[in-house]
Amino acid sequence: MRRYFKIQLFWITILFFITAKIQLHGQESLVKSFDIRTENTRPKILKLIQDKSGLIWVGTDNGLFTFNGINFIRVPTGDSLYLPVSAIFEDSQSIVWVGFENGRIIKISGQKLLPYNPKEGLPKVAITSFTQNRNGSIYFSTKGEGVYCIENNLIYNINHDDGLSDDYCYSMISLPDQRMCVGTDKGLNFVNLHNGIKQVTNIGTSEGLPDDIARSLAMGKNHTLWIGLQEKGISKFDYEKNKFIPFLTSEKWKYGQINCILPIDNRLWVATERFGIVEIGADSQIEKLKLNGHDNLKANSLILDSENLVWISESIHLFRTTGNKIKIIETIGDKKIDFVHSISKDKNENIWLSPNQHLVCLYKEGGYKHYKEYKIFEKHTDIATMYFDPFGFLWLGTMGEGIYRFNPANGHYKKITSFADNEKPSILSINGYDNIVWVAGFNSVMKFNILKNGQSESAEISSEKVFSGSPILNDYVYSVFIDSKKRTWFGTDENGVFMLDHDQLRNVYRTKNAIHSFTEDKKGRIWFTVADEGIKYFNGGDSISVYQTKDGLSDPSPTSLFCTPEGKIIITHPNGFDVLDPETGTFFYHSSEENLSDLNPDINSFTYTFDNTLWIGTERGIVLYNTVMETNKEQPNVVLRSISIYTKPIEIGSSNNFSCDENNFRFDFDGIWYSDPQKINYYFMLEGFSNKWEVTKDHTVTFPILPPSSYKFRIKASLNSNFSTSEETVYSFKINPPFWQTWWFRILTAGLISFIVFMIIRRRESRIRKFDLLQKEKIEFQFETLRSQVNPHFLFNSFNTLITVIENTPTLAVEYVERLSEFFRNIINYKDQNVIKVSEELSLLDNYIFIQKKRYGESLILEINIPQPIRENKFVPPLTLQLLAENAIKHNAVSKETPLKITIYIIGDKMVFVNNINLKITREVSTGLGLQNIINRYKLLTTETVDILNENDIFTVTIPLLNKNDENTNH
Amino acid sequence: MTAPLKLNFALLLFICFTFTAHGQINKLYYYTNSGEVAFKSEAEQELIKATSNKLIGILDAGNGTFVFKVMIRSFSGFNSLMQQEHFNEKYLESEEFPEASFSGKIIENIDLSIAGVYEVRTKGILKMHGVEIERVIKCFVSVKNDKIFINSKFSILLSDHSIKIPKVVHEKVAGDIGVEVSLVLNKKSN
Repeated sequence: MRRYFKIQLFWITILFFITAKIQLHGQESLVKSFDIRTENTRPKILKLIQDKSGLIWVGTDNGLFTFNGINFIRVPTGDSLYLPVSAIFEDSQSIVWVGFENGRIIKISGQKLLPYNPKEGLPKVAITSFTQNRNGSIYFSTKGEGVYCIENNLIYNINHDDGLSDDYCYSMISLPDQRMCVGTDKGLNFVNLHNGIKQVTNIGTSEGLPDDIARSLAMGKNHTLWIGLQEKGISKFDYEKNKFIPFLTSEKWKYGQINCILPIDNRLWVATERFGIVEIGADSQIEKLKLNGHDNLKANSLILDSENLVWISESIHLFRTTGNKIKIIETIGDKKIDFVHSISKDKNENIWLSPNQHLVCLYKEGGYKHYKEYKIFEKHTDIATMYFDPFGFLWLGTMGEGIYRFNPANGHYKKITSFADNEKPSILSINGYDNIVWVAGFNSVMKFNILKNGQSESAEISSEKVFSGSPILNDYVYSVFIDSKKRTWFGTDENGVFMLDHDQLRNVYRTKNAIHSFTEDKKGRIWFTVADEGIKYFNGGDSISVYQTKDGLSDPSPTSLFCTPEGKIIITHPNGFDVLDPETGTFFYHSSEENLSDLNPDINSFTYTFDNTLWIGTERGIVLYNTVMETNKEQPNVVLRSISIYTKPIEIGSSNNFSCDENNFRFDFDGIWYSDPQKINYYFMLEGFSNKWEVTKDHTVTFPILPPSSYKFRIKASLNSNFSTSEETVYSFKINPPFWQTWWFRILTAGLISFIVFMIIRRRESRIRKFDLLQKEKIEFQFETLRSQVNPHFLFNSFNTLITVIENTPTLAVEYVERLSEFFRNIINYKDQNVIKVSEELSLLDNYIFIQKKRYGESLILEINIPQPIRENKFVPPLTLQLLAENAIKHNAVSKETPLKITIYIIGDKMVFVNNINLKITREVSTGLGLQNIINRYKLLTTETVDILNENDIFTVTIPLLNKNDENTNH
Repeated sequence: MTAPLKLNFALLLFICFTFTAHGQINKLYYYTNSGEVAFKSEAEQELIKATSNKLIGILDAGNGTFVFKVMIRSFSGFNSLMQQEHFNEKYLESEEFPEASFSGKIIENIDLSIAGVYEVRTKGILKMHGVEIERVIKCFVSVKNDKIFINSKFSILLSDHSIKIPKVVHEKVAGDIGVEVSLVLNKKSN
């Protein structure tokens, strides 16, 4: 590690040539600028807010955006997409209210756009601000229509007629006492609306407001308000006591119109119309902020984010500054402050430093803006280390000029000569306690003891050579550190760490790499740097723990260590510093992203002042780090910006049940770490899909085809690879299986199928049964018919008739026999058919009647009145009419006196068989099967019934006429 | 030059009408149709200046509201004809945006019926090159013999009004244009 010194010596020589003086201001925040670039415009930024999740919203003259530290992402605002945004506000329900120049208002909840169209209508002029009172009522102010209040879903307008001094409102702020303070063109108004009753009071120039135009408002401490005026600077008003508190006199204000005020601790950041940002300290000192060379800017909005960074909007630029958290002093007045090799503070909190080989004191009084330079050395001599002894004297360790003891009170000093055997030693570290001062450097360690007159320059100081024979004496000792137990620690170049406890020196850690710096944490553990190895600490006894780059350390060879009162370990390196929480192992970084590169801080060049500020001496100047302003969060939190299914965004927070074809999920997210957004790593897992964490730096992850299941998207972020303290953001959702895979569908289908099968079987069974029945009936009928036809009477009668016919008209006998045989043939022919044509039945009937007529002569009258189409197209079961005719002949007496008249005709689609009743005295034996058989057969063939009517000596049978296919359908 | 005059007259009538239409018949109006506007662009290489005395306007002395307008084409007195052409065609695009206007109100509570000299701020919308900007402009107002004299000097940032200047002529046109207005308003006899 001797290379380090070569470099330093190189700088020492080059220093002589740096003479350029640059006129700069004192403490500067570090600035980075971002521009919005959209498709074809460069929108001007008009409004900024940070929501509760940490996301920054940017309202522009070309729509609304969110900013994740890297990209501006347009917020879809429906048909207001490109409208100028004039106000943004997040209410207590995390609903973001957006007001536009044209008076339109929309609300955004999650990704869901909630249009706001009250029945009372919206203003016709720009919305300038929103606020919410403690009851949850939303107020909004307008440019020309006064103030509106939404109470119980009703909108009230409070304007000039209600006592508002002017309707042109610039800004509004919610006071803890329910009132709203509104800044207008005619002073301040305090507005309250309760149960529809409006209360307005005015504070104008006659009440002491220096300027009529109150452009901007901010809350102060102790019920005060800061009022930014158009012309006369800033006013401070106590709204409880209703009086103005003297602040800046308006004569002192020469920065014009104030567009925004941001109080941070007891300082004010002020955005002005033509002079950019000015910062006002507690002492009313005004400083102008330098914004990347832009000088006279129109700054319009200022916010302090959750990391204590200050954001400034100016035209098309968004500036991120380190605010009051990190500042850098590169000059004081016209004095360039660089190459600060050592820095220390006296008991009055004045800062002593050695920039550019000088000794400089920065006085606490006046906010470290005044300084005094001391000349000690004839030629340029580098002061590498400083130590204040208990008597208030400053020990200066130089490169090549030995040790000096300096009296800050009068500037007198004395060289302490007796250091080893070297007249011009180089000193690297001085430290001590009580009367003991340890001085270490190249190949030497000395112990000094202030014996007498410590408070005077002529103090009696003894020197003591120690550790004879120890390798420590042949080494460079970079650092002497006294811990809280008064143990003395030595960091060497090649022999590791030595610890002196009760006069006993131990080589507690051995390494060939240089030890540059020590610190003690709040638990009393000693930490030290090891070049090329990282930082290590004694974790009880001699056990040593380490942090390396893989654990999050940003440089393998840190320069120095410092433990803050909050317990954080600050680790400086050439391009910034890391902040380590030793409890959790989390690192924060402040580096090139915040413009902290090329610092090259010197070893152990630290001091810590009353105002929670760590002063770090570097080559570039002094870095001031306000340690209490460091964010409390351990790691970046992740905001799920959007979830899309097939690139179509869904509403986060509404239903998270999706159908099986909604299975292409895309998650867009932003880790919130504005200090260094590029450092964010994401760790994500889709539980239910793959239960494995994956690392990405992308802000998007897509899952193309997710099978139906329950899922949980889990994501967290870290600035390094340590995710143990990261907070998880979770989105649970479910992809439902397709309906044919659901249990109810399966049960239903199974039920339906078994029902259908059951029905088929049943139908088939009933058909078979019916068929059997029909078959049986047919057989019965055939049997009956045959039996009746073949019954001896019929035959006897027929034969007797035949005899008579043969005797009387033999020629006719042939026809008679022909007819008789045709009749029987037909009976046999039709016996297997279920139905026959009406015409066929009629011819059968005709044969039968012919036979019977030969017997009964004119006493049997048959009248048939059936149209030809019916005869050919309609059907009846065979032998129906024959049976009915036979029935009639069988039961009735047929004689000349009482002829039997049978009439067959059609009514509608029915055939009617009518005969007159003239019952025989001697009843023929009847099986009773004839009619019943007809009815039964019809039942099997059709739903229509056979009606039998027996009244007024008329016997009527109505037979349904069938179609050919009736027979088929019923089969 | 008759056409713009007619237009101006119509405009004035319209303004009067809109004011009276608001039921402020008994209010006191002051008007002008020959106010003077001059501007100056002092760039490194070239000085551009021009004047118009065709500024028209009306002031309601009752509530301090006002409207002033000037036709862009009415500016004259350029160094050269080419300069005037550039001014009209390239920078202000007077074909598309024929007029510039400032309408608003007087912030300070002053009584314009009392003779005297006042320094006031006027707040309103400055419309130029089709771009509206909210401006607060300081004016000196003096009231004398039923006349109101107004003098004002202010500057206009070209970038505010989206007036683009090609890089080549950057040294010829200043980003900041100085404007001087002086006018006399006469009492309108009802």
